[in-house]
Amino acid sequence: MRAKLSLAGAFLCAVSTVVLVGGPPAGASSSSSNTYKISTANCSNPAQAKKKITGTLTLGFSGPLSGPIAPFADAVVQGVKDRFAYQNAHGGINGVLLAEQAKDDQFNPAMTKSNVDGWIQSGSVQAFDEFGSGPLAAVAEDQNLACLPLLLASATANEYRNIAKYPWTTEFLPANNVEETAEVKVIQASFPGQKEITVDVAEDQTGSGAAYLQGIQAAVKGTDVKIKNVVPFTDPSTAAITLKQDNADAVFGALVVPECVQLTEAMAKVGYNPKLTVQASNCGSASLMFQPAGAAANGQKLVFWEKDPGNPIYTDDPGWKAYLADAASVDPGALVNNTYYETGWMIADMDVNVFQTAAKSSLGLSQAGIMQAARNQNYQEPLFINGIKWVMNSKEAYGVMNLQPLEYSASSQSFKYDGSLINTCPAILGSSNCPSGL
Amino acid sequence: MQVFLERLFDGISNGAIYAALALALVMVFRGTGTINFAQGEMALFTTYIAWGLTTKNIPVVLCLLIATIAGFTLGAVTERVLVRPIEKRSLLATLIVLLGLFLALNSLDGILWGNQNHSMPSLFPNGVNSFISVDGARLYWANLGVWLLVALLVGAMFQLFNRTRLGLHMRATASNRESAALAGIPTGRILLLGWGISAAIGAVAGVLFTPLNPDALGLGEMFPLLIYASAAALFGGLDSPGGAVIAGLLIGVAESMLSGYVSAIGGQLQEAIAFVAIVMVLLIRPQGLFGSKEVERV
Amino acid sequence: MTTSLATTRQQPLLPVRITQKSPAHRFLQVFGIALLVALAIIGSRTNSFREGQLTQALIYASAIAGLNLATGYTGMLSIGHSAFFGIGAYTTGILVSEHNWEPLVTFLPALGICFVFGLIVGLPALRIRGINLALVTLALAVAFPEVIDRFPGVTGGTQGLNIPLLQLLPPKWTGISIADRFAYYYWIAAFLLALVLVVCANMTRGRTGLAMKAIRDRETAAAAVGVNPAWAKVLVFGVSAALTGVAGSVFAMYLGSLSADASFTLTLSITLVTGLVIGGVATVIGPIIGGLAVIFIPYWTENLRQGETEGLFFGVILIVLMFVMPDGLVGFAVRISRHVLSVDPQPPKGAGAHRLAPLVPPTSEHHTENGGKEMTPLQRPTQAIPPH
Repeated sequence: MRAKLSLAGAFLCAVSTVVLVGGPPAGASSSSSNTYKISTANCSNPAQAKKKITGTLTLGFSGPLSGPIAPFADAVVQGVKDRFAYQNAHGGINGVLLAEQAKDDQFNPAMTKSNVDGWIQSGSVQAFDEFGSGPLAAVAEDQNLACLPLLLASATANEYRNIAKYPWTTEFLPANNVEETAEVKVIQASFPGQKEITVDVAEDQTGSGAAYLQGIQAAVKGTDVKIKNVVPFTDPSTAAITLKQDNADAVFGALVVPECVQLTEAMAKVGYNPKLTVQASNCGSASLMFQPAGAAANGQKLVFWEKDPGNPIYTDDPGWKAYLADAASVDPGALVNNTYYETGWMIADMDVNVFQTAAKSSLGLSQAGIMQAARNQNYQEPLFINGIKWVMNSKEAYGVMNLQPLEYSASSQSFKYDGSLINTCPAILGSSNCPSGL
Repeated sequence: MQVFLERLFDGISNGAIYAALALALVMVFRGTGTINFAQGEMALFTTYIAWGLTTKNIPVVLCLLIATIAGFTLGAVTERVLVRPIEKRSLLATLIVLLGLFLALNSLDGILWGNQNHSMPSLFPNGVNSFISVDGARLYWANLGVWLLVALLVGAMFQLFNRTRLGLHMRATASNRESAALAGIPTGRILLLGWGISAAIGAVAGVLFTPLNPDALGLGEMFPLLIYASAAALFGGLDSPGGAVIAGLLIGVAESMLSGYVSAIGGQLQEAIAFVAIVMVLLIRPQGLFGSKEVERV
Repeated sequence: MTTSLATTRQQPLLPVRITQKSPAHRFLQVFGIALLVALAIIGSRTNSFREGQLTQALIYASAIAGLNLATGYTGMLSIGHSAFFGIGAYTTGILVSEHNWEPLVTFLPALGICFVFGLIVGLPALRIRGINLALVTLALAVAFPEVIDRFPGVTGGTQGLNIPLLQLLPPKWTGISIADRFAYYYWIAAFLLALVLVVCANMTRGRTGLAMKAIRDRETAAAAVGVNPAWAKVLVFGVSAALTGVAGSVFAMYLGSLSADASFTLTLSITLVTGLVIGGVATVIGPIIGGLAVIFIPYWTENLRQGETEGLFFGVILIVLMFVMPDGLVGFAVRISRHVLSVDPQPPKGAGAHRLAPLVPPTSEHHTENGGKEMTPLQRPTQAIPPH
């Protein structure tokens, strides 16, 4: 049975971007060599890019508002709206109000392009967000030419982290190589002392799965972890039978929602219980992706960035409590325990931080100012797992580089921390490029 | 051996559903001379109805019954209201109307029941431990139940076609509508019944098949099934119910074996292979394995 | 039907009758073309967003015109033209991004490759009719994305194929700046559509057109009088695929990023058929209306709950149109217009012209008519179904 919900998966991917950079406090050591300076010289309309925004700042959102991912996308849109509403109730951005304009693109790149071209043409938004790598590919060049900021796109493709080529684009989701590097470390830690560790990869059949696979193939290079087999995940039972036959040390689910839980259930049905199962981060919802499989999901691991709703660990966490209170102040019935709503709130919170920084800068609250602030953002998002910070500067556009390993416990039906934060920066950028504390 | 058996069981389960849907397609073809493009979506619609009822805590068996009746109605109404007036015009017009129905039903599903996937409860015990062991391989009750029910269904259809008066009338209408009408057979009613039964078969197939995998109920569920069922119907011979059933089972098992044992295909080219199969069949033997050669009179 | 009896009485005022190929007729044709050109120019003067939408509409119009040859004129329903559109698009995409070809030059290989694929897919048509071919095309539409995904080395697989904008920019000799590049794509789409329509108009005239309609309406009879249906069908399918394919090439230039799972699925095929039916099968301008409809109707209904509503709307339209307006908007307009203007065929030359009654009605262009009530293609029965 084919399960084509790469959208949901990518969505959750987008949601779960937590940056952990225990870096220096903002401003203290941001030496000028690390600060990115935006240029409007190549904009099709430099004046538009430098114009100060007054009255209302509108953020566009192009995403799959119909189709299988729509419920998730709707929740994200709502989260953004509420966070903006909260900010507006507290003075906006120096008096400038925030608004959101959501447009459906059915995950069809041609429609995303239409939406974005429409925004560029009409000037009705001053920044936008979008969903998915495919749609991003269709609009990246247009939006960079027009100097319309794309803030925190829900995509992972490293191609668009090329600061020189795409200065007006940032991506929210951790890069695949970041996540996979951490996951390989988790696999290694689960088999201490073992000479060679074999992994079977269950691969989702859309672009997301392919990206995950590439990530893990790169991440295992030079390690003692070997990929034994790549099993296409078109039909859960067929895949489970093959996985059982291979009997590798670990199974890695390069999958998107809801395939993760389908994998667990299918493996249980064929009587296969791998020594270790690692799930992709976009499946990081205990209630949706682990709990329905019951005991079969016990012990499964993943790496994650955000505080997942409903986890008792965070009951007394100040960041979490603030989120609950702030959301309730805007809407007492807000879906605070919905992972996607939380993501929307998170993204909007990071946007607000960018807008505030821009307003204080020499470029002011303009498209250029916003982009410059975004490229240099150094922010401890309260809804990220404590210790994970978002960092961007002129040298790197990864955003999140530290991840927390989690393990699912069937008895408590929630995730527990499984060891300390994994820092992928040295492996990805080389230790000399990682600021102190990173 | 164990893996082989597991793949075999998997293949038979899928094959049973392809067989049932192919049977439905053949029934309509014999009567009206057209392929019901909307067959899959009718089945999906009725499966959604059944699922919706299960969320209201109505027992699954009752939901199946209601879905079957809904399916029958849907099929009969389609024949009377949409197909009969249009088929006089041209085949192309009929196909387009059915295409429109396909599109409309699928969208309606999304509007009425939302667009995320759901799991459907099974008629049979469907827990992790509800299986019997065959030489080490697990045969789940749910799968076995599906096989038995489909076999019953197919058997009932054969009895209907070959041993009852109604079946005789249906065969006569299918063979030559004009002569049948002249002989006093109420061909209109027969066609109505044919479409109704065919859609009812689809409804049963949907309710049986969907619980086999978690989260299987979704807007895109019936798509590939329609392709395989069409391949089966063509392969077996569009006017041969027996051929359709056998072909359906063969395709199900072949798909499972190929995906499992031929790594070049893996799980990726399934529909492409069905495509090649269809083309090969049509080139070599257009009437399928068991069908009869079509003689067209000028 | 036309001349003999009527001349003895006073001619009614309407419809105005002119003869085919007469100066009056020629004038009307030139006027019609000039009108289309004027509309195209007006379209290019809108803002770049609207121009982009029109470009998409023109691209779809070309694709629909290609489909029209196979489905509209020859009666072979194809719901697999999304695959040809995709083959054209990927041909251009691969040649430009990986082999640095000049985009416009890639249209030729796209035409050729799609023609060949069309022939291959049409081969089953040699032995079968109607439904079976439709099923083959259904399977083609569904299989195409899978095959693309299977060869990521060539096509980018599930992650898609991106063509760098630099390679798609208007060449220097056009004098169009990067900021105005939308105009470039617009005119390419417009010129392509013009070429496609000319090809279609020519193909559907004369002997080929007769053969196509004969196949659509009474295939066995056509064979009985010497039309070779099998090869005619395969050829038509090939040309149909080629035209839709080259529309796909322009699409690749316009969008710059290709993803089979997103853009070239069965949904696209159904969209093309819907556009064809709305515009009008077996008409020359129908595809233009169809292209506009499939782009602008969803845009206008955007604020309603999209996606599903759009699908429901188009599904219902398909059904309703088959009952109420089987010849589509253009066909309907043409039928109405016949009350106002009718173009009579030239009187036959020489004696004995009436001896052989044609097996099929004389060719009619979309705005010519023989005065009688001509059944539209979707009204003619293709198989004898006795009333019951």
